Amino acid sequence: MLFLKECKKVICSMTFVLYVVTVIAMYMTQYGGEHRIITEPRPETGDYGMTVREDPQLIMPAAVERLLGDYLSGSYPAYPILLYKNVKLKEDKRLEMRSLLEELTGLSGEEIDGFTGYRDAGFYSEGLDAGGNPIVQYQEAAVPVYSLPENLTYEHFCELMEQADRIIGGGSMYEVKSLANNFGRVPMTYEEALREYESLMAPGELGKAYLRLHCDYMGIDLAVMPVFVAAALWQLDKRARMQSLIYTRKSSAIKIVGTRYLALVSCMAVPVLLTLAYTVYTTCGMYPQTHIAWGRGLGMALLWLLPDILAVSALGALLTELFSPLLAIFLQCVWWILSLRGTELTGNVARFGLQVRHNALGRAVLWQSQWDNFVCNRLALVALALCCLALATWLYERRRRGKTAWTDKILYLGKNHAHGIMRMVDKKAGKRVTGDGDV
Amino acid sequence: MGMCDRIEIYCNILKVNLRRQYPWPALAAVALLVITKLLFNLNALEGAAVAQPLEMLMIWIGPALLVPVFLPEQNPELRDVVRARQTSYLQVCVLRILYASLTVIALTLVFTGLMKADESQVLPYHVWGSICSALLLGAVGLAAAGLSGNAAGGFMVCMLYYLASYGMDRRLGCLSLLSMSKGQMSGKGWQLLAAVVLVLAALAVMRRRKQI
Repeated sequence: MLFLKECKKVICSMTFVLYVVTVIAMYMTQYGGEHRIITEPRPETGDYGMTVREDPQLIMPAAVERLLGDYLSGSYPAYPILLYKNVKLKEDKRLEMRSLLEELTGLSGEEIDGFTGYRDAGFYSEGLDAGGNPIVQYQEAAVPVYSLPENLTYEHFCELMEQADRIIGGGSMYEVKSLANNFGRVPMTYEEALREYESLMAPGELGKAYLRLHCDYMGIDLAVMPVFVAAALWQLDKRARMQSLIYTRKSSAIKIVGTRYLALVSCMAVPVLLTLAYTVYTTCGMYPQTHIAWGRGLGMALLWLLPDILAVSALGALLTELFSPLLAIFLQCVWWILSLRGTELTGNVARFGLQVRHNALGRAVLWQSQWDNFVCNRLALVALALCCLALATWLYERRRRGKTAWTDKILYLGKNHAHGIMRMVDKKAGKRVTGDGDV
Repeated sequence: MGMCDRIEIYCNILKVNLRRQYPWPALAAVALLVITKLLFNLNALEGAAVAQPLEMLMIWIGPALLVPVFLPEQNPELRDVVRARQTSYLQVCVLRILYASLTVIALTLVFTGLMKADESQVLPYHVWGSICSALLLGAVGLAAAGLSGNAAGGFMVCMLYYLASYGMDRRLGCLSLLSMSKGQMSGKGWQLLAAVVLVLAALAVMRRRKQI
């Protein structure tokens, strides 16, 4: 009964309606545009897309050439928080970068700075043909002639790249974890493309591929939006001044907090489950002749998305109980932005963190290699949710016994906040104010 | 009541609000400024890159300062008590909106000053555009929080508007919050106008519904 009442409170709240709108909007705008059918590669086409190889012989020359080109052009592309940024270095940083390049290329600083014929790689016009049309040809980047030092190990090269990334300010192409992605890309062979296709079409894997992409997009949304709903719900008692009434009820704190949390999580899971069902429906429509085993894929999707809702809601509830709803929202938004910045799009799942990304339909083998990290990451979020919930219950119980949290004194500057402002005005106006705020 | 008495009352209200209502929103806004400085490399930026730290993160000082304007009296009973007083609650809210807006301007100037010190090529339009977007985002949150009586909802509407600007940049036209980051250096005046209209409309509706 209490559970249904709490569910009604959640569903009727403005924040929940907005939450549903964002979930649907995220699904339609992000995942909705990604419905492409996976087809078997054909040997005669010759173009099977690209693959990434963690090969130092491939990565080192390409990265050094690009860094030298960036240095000569004076600008370094970076993606510190999702958006592209063109970084220009100050003089001291430029000199720091030059000394790095001296070590990487064997050239002196004067030789590097004295080179004037720099040209970026790209398509350039080479005059006109007989018909008067411009002849456009691809030209390699024009950089000074150099060779990598023979004793340069890959470990030391990575250290130098880390320094280069630090000089640029982070989020550059030279981040060690992105080196293979940026400089280890080579065209896929037919055999590799066929292996990739077969791994995707293996029993249970096709559904997983689409659900992975689904979870990748929805995970961004679910890593922040539940905090708004949780914070708004958790402050309802305070706003309605119902604490005193609820605190005297027979029900235990565990029952009240647990039921409220369960209602919150259940309601927020519904739109997510509906979008999952829609993905299953559309994918089945794309492969009418293929039997897709959804069991393991749906298990993975629930393991991916539900811990987000559990952890973000529990943390929001705890911070609202401890401080205030606005501080809960603020801190969660900060964590969300930092996690977006620190998470790679594909291929590197951290053991601990808010976000898991795998922004690709394919690359199933890479995903399988990250499976242990994925499970650890999600279980850690569930553990965090349980800890936050236990703490929130304990705080709630304390308040029921009439003990205020130490944070109240900080937040309300040692006074009763609700009456504080008007009491101060009355005092200034020379009126006598009682302890309850009566004039 | 004489003019001097009125001024004294407003000064008292201002002092009390600056002590009671202002510190946490102001602290959140300053924290946003610090986080923006830490997250973005502000060295020698030029062109559209200058607008990115301003439009991606700094404009959130608008919601941080403007959304909590009605927060102290969010409880309906408390609001009734406040409304019964001789000094109109509307005037108290206008006072809060004014000092919150001035703080938005001051913090944007401080941040762009920091960017200039880091040799970024900040143009006057960047400062103007950033202030207009911050005020519009704040006004959207203020209106949503005021009309719904829910500050968390106000922030959520801000987040929706921000995400819409991110995803539907062209469809929003001059009301896109991220227009300068995409190289468009005009139309921010409309955002300021929209912010003012939105705040006035929200206050008018709230007045009519006897919320203030």
